[in-house]
Amino acid sequence: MTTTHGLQVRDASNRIIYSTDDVTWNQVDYFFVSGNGSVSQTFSVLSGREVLTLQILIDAPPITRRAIAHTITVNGTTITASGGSENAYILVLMR
Amino acid sequence: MSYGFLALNNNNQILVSSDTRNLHLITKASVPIQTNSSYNYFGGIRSWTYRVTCAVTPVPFFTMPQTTVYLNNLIVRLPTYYGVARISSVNSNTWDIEIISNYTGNYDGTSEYPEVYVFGDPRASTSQETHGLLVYRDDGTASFDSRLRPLAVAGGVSVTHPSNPRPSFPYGLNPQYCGASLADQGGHFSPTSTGNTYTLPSALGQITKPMFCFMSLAQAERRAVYTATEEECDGVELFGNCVGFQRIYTWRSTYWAFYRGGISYTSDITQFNVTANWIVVYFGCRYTYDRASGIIGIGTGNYDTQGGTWPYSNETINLTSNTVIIADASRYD
Repeated sequence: MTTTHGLQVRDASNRIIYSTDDVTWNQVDYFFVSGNGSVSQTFSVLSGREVLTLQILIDAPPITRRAIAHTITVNGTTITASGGSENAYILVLMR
Repeated sequence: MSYGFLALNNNNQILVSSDTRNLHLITKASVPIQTNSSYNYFGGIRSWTYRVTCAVTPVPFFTMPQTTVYLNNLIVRLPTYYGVARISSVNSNTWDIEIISNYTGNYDGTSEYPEVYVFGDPRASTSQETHGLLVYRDDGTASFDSRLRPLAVAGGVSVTHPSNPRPSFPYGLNPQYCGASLADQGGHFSPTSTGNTYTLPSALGQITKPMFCFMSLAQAERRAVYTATEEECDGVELFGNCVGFQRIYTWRSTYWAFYRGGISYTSDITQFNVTANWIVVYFGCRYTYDRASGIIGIGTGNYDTQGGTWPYSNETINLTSNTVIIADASRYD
C-alpha cells in the first residue's frame, strides 16, 4: 500500500522505517506475578482499545508439583493475573 | 489524550503513543549458549538456551527451522513445533530464553538453530544515529525511537492445544527395570494428536521470513504401566500351591512422557496456517521390583527397588487459549 496521507518515518538513507501502513502491538506494562500470588492493575489507556496479554513462565515446570499457569482476566481497563502456582511475567499489549 | 503524541495506523489502531511504549529490536541471538536436550526419539526433542543482554524484560520472537526428510525422491517437510519454555533473569540485564522443539534436522544431515529476535521497550537500548523520530513519555523516558527498529506485526492468532497428545499406545514395553529401549519408548509416546490448525489471512504467505512470539503454557503427561510376575517353588507343587520355599517376583515399570505446547506453521503464497500441537520435553520411567519369599505360605521377607516419577499422571493442564504474534524477521536482519 502506498501512503498518500499519514505518517512515514525514514532513516538517514531515506528508507521507510515505520509508517501508518504498519500494524503493531504497544506495550502497556510487563509485570511480575509470583506463584500463588495475585496482581491486579488498571491502565486507563486501555479504554476503548484492543488488549492482548501474554504470560511467560520464568522457570521450567518442576517435577515435584503441578505448574499451573495464572488465569488472566481483562475487565475493562483492569488486568488481573491470579490462580497460578508459578512465577510469571505478564505482558500487556494494546493497539 | 490532551497532550503528547498519538499516531494511528490505517486501521485506526495505535501505532505510536506517548502513553505506551513501542517494542523495538534490542538484540538478535543466532546461536544458543546451551543445548539442553537432543533426541530424535519421541517425535524429536530439542531444547536450547539463548542468553541475551536486555535492560528490560525481553519479548522474544523466534524463527522455526523445519525438519526435512528425503522420501520417495522428494524433500518433505515434517510438522515442526516450537515454543518459548521460559524466560529467566540471570542478572539485572541478562536473560536466558529457552526454546523447545521437536526439530530433528535436515534430510542431508545438517542442522539449524532457531534465530531469536529480542524486542523490548526503547529504554533497553540507545542509538548514536542522529536521524529519526523520538517520542517521549511524560516522565521523560522513551516511548518510541525509530532508530531502534520498532516492531511491526504481520498477524496473530489465538490457539488452543488438543486435549490429549497421545490417546492410545501402539504396543507394550518391557516391564522389567524400565528396560525398554529409547526407540521403543519414543515410538510409544510420540505425539499422535493431529493438532489444531488455524488459517490466517493469505497475505501472511508473502512474508519473507516469518518469526513468532509464542509462550508455551499447556502441559500434559501420559504414562503407561506394564507388569510381569514369576513364581519359583523349591519344594513341590500340590494342587497349585507350593509346598516348600517359594519366591514370587513382581516387576512393574511405569513409563511416562511430559509434553508442552508448541506451534508450527505451513505457508505458501496462497495460505498461511498455524497449528498448535505437542512437543515431548521430558521422559522417564519408574520401576519397582518386588521379591516376596515364603515357606508354606508364611512370608519370610521381601525386597524392592524403584526410581523415577512425575507429579501428575495422564493429565493435561493449562489448556487455555494462547496468543501467537507473527512478524517478518527479514525486516530486522
